[in-house]
Amino acid sequence: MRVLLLLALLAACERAAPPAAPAGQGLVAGNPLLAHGDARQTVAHRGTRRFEFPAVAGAASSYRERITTDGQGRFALEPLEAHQASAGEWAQFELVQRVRQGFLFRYRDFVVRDPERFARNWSTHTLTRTEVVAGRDCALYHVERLQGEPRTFELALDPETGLILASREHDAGGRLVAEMRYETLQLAPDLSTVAWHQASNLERPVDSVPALATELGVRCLEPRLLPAGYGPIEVATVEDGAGTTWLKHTYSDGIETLFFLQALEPAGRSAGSASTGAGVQGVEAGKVMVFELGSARAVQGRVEGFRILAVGEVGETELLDLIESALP
Amino acid sequence: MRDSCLAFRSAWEHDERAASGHRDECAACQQWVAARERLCSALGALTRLTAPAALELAVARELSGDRSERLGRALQSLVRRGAPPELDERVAAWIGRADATDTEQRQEQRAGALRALDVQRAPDVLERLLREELEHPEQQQAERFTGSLPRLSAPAALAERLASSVRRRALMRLVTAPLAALAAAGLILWIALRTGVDERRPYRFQVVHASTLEPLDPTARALAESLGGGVPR
Repeated sequence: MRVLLLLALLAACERAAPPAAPAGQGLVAGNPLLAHGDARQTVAHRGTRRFEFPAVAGAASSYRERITTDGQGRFALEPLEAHQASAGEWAQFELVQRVRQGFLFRYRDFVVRDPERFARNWSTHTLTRTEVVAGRDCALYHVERLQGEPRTFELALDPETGLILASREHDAGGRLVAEMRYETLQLAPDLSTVAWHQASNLERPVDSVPALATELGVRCLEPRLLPAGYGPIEVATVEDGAGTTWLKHTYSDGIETLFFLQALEPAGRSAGSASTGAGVQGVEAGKVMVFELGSARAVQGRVEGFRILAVGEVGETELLDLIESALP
Repeated sequence: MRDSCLAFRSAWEHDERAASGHRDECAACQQWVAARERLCSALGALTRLTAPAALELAVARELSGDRSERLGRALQSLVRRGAPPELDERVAAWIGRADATDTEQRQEQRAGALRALDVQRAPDVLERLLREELEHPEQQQAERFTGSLPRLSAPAALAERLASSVRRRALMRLVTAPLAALAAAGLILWIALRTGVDERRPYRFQVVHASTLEPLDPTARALAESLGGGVPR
């Protein structure tokens, strides 16, 4: 019997072990995708980019935009055209894109957000061939997730600037999910007439959550069970247009991001009145509502007096576990 | 102004780099370009104002078809009408009469209002505890204060028997305990991996699946759509 149990243990350990990491994958140093950090923030450039989303129907399945950065952290994204869009659809699409350019710049593009977790959760393979993108010779890389669904990215990196000039994202079934490609690229452009993005959500980093809780007199939640491979990267407060301040926890597995937001409001107010802001209609206390938005999911609700949001490209169970683990 | 000047200025305003030849020949156009460049520079140096955060939410609501707050905004924008002066006079006169009422009468009214309130009874458990305390005070005290009784020590023979037994068991544990722990851990891991982790965990909340995105908070929607490629759904 003991022999059988030992054999079972050995078999289980073998099955539970992660796949063997490629040589050097565990090292942050030497990974070409980590050598430049987020080059968009450090290399002043202007370019037009084309985005394709094959799984999306309608006007927004393919569009072009102009990106401008000053290399000092300022940026501007201007939508140029959406293919197959009527005039009305384009007007609405352009408005939404302009309003959300802060979100798009931070969370849509391929960016390594946490080098340590990227090296741990994703494998990087250098392809032998090269590709010319926007007139620049680019090295090609294949990036694949080691845990969970094997999502992959094919990246074209300009070795000189560190800019990723093309990316193709595939889902676990090998289907193309999203594609981005620079059509033109101008380094050191004239920036005198650029209307830079101005953030309007008053985001402020939070150094200490307990100190914030003491200062505001509210109980701050913090998830204790994260999806596999994810870890915290930042905590901040943000304000929405309805006058609600949210405590936003951001997590990442190196590339993908996951958000947990809690409305910072007095306990009496959070008990369920309908006047506490937008987006809570139809969600009763003690319930959470799950929304599917393409590859992303959002869960919102009121639980035990707390207004909560969780958003990420992870499974529904993982988001629900995240919320449950945050409750006192 | 000549036609060539007009053509140059129009071309310059469209793309300044494309129109350069005529400026070298025309002093008026040189001055015009210099003035335009000063204007651009001055405008570019102005501080850019930030749109209020409420605008984003209002735009999102309008785009999502939510017109529920239009009525509220329209009502808030109406000019507020003041009360007529006759009303103020009547209120002042009524308050004056109220001040003159008799103090005793007011106290009687208060006493009557207090008598009309519901009398709150003590909970039943309190009555039961009080009755038990009065009927058997020693027993109640013993039950509640056993911690204050003097503690008796165990006999020496018991300590010796325990020591020898502990030594024997320690030897056994040294050999068998690691093996047993290893086997138990392996069994748990094997069962967990064999059956998968599909079992639904009980949550302290009810989960509802949304059929539309309308109830979704605009902040959450913007974040989710940005993750999914920035494509509005």
